[in-house]
Amino acid sequence: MKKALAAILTLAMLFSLAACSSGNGSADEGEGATEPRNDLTVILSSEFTTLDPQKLSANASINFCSNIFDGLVALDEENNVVPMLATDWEISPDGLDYTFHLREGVKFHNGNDLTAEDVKLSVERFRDNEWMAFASFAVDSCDIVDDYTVTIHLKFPYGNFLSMLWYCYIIDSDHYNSLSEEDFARNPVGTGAYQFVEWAPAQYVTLKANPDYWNGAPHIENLRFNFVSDSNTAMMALNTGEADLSFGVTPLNYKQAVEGGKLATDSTTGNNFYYINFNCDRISKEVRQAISYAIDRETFNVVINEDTGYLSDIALTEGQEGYTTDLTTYPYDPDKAMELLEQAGATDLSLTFYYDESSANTKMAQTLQSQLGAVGIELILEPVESGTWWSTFGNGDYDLSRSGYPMEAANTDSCYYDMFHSTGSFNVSRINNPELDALLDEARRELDSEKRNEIYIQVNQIMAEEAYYIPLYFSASLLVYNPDLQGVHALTSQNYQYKDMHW
Amino acid sequence: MTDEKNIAAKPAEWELEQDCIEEERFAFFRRLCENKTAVLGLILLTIIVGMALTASLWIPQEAVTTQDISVRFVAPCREFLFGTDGFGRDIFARVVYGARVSLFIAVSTIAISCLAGLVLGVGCGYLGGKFDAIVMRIVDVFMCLPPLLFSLSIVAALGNGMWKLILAVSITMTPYFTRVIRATVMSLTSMDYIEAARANGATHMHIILRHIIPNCLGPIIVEATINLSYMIMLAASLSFIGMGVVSPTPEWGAMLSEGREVMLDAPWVVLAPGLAIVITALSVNLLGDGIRDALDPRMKR
Amino acid sequence: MVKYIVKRILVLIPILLAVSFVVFAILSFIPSDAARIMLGANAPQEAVDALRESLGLNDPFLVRYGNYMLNAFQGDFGNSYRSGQPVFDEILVRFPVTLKLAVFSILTVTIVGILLGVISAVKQRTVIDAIVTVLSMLAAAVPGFWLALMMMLLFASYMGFLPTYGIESWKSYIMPVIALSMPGIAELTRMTRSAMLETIGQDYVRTARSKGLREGLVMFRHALKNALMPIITVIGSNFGSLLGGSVVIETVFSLPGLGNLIVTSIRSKDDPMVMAGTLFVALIFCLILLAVDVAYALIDPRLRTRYVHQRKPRWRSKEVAAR
Repeated sequence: MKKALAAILTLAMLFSLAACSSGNGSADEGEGATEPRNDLTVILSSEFTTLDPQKLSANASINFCSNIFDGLVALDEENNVVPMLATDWEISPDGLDYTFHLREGVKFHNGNDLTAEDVKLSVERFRDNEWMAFASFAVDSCDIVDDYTVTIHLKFPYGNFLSMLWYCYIIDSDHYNSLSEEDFARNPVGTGAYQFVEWAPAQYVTLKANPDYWNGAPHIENLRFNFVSDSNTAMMALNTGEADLSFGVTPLNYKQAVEGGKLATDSTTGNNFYYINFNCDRISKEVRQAISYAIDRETFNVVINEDTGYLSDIALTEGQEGYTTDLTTYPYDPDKAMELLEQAGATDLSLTFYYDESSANTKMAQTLQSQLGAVGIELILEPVESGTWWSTFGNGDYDLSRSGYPMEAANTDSCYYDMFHSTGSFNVSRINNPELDALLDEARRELDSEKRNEIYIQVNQIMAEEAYYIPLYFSASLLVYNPDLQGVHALTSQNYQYKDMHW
Repeated sequence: MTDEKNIAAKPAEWELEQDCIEEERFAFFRRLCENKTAVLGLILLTIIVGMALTASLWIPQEAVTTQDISVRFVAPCREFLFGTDGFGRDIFARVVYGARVSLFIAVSTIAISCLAGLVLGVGCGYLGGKFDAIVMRIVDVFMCLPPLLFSLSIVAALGNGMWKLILAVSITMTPYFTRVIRATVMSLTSMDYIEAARANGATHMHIILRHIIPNCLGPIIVEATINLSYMIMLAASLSFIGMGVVSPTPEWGAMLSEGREVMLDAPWVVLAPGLAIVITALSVNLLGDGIRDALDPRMKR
Repeated sequence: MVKYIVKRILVLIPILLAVSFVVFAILSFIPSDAARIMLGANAPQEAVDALRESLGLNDPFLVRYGNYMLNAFQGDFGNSYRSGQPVFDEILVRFPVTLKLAVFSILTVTIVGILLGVISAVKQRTVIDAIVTVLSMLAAAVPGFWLALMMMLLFASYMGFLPTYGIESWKSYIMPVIALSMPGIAELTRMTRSAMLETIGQDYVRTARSKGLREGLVMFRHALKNALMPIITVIGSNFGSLLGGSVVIETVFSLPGLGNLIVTSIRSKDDPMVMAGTLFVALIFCLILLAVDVAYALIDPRLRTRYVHQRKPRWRSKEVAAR
């Protein structure tokens, strides 16, 4: 008897454990035959760590938040600065003070009015949080003029200030003050087209339309964002109709979707620029140039991007400040590479390649290893966890590495300073060139766009001549979606506005 | 290992008992050969090991890493028996060379952890007392974590790479072998012939080398073969989640990890390495079961 | 009985303390810059240095461990480096997924394993027995994550009737549970078969049979009941390995469980999360071992004293089969 009891007890325990933990039901995806749908399911390939708009660490979450929050200004698709919560603004003659007039009658999702108080708090948090330093480095302080006017003072005249100001989302000061930092990070309240409903960690986030949105109510009522890290799974979900839109599928899956013809697809140049960087403290100019000749970028693009990427000799696209084609290039020429290596006396080289582990990086590493092997350089692969990569980068203990940088559409300065200035926080090539530093410093404080353009052309020419890095490509911005969905096309910035989409 | 066996086989003061062991050994092989599934396992394993060892004779080593983007994702055909992957590499060559890597990892982790387990287990079982108590408490602690999770954190600490993976899995498995061997040793120390040897004035070293270790070999061989397939899978799992052997080294788990992304388009990329794991694990299991049954005839088939 | 359980729980405390020390030591081995991870690439070096100082990352290892444990005793396991949220909040959100996965799997293992084992024992030396044996041999040789990939390839893409992601419907658990329970089923089937074969030959089973009891009744009431001990051992040990195995399976199916969380956290070097997650798994693991021992003691009181002193390894249950 006791044995049976024991067996039952064990089973009962297991059952009750399961029962305690079982969550509750699911929302049906009602799809009326005639009624247009009023919901949209989007797949996001990575989860957010926070929804505190001033602590966003990744472009994906910054873009996501632009549906919940508004900034004072925004960038339109042609990368012009357009008014949002600020209707207009004045710039002082010395370029140091920006006075913004706020849109009146705008309400936060919780019913509070937007006032200068909220803007001041937002700008100050924007300035103080390290994650935002890339955009807020020029901000000095913010003064309230009256309820609907604020002035932002800069540390130095910064010509590109407005193009970075859209990163400063406006939060409600009352809401912020009523919550702890931890709770605030999980309960975003903004003025945007959609308001936050629920966030189930590692599963989904749901938003619902803000009917009182100052810029016109959105068409689609309910948005659901599912976190699916695996691209195959995302494709299956799109195929079965479990999801409607994804802009994070792999190039291979994208090609499948194009060939399959069942799903709508669109693509354009993305803003992520990828390159192989040397540790210039360790590798001489001659060797850098030699290695540059040994690289067949076409192969990289095929293996990693299924040929969807856009090869580029420069970290800019046409039309941006500093774009030029007048620079030293290194066409694929392994014989020349070997010759140069011999001249530099660098035969039998053995180099380490550090990268944080991901599918694309692993492919890059193996392609690089194979191509360098062909010119007699042994490449030792050192994949590390992304956390470890930062400390390796910090202490400079690597020969080569790879980088991807989300370029700004309308601002060459912030990226270039970050990547190529000796004090830049993303100077992974460990460049230390006084001439380059001087040029970058000069450009940062130059108010005239034409003059900046000329300086950056010079910068690019030096970069190419010195072969500080091997430019590879801009990845493509790929979009796969339900063909019934209207008002959607691929965006370079991937900053999709769900407000404009409809069935 | 063979040295120890020779020591055991030398006629010593307990000849009668040694004769029994000889006879037992003969009976063991007879029983093993009678077991059809075990023979099947042995044949399969011999083929796999044979292919792995002779790989360099019939497939050039370069085929494993040679990339050629003009033949990406070719389906299995005459030229590429198992197809090609995203770099245009021959999957057949990679699977065959992968057997070297996977088997090497499995065998060396087993060897390392068995050896460590033998030292600790014999120490614990024979010496007893404080040494036993301390080691067993440490073993308890290490066994509080699921093996996969434990090796995972060690790999994370040490970094990627084959030797680090071997070390991590060995550390994870050592406590387990320590326990098994300790239990065997403890049951042996109370045996009459050990008592007798001790009464005859044999030294501890002598008893351990002549009597304890030879008699531990049976259980060790059983445990080793039975756990071999688990090692293959553990190593493959770790490489699969990107915490172990790194491509382009053709480890099966790492190949699956790489192929996973493209499996809808090119299923052969995940088929071949997976089947290789299944067949190897199956043959090792069949052989392991056969050895166990042959060593312990009371165990019913 | 209560005294026995209390005693066993008290033994757990020093063990878990030691586990925490081991894990902490392993984690501090990994070179990384937690402050940099928290602040991002663009943060100025001074801010990173200041944060590192304030987090106590510059302290010696033992001081850091001491501080961690002091806080842990007060229920504060730290905040995640990535999200800034208290780690236990996240673990409690994730754990139910893993638990459900493990419980569903262990139920599948139990039901299918015992059923197949009994059938193959009853039909000993028939075609059915042979088929079950071959299948269980195969099942033991298939790595769970590969089976998962194959199922995804087959069911989800070609047939489309199983959800491909998410955990909102019970259907989402079908594939992960199958992938996770396969090795357990294989093991339990074999175990049950041999345990049953041993008891079937015993006198009381023959007596029961000769009394004219129905064959099914004999099997389940008498034979199976006495084969229960090794079966419980296998189930208990499997529950533990399921917790470990779920690490890989959750990754394959993108399930938001604890295993997935630990892997992501190891990747992003989110130490407090890895630390708390691993400790949590260790705790659950020990509690399951305890539950199995309690079940043992309930079945056979003689074992109680023995198992206090000498616990058998149970997470690798093959040992049981090898006996």
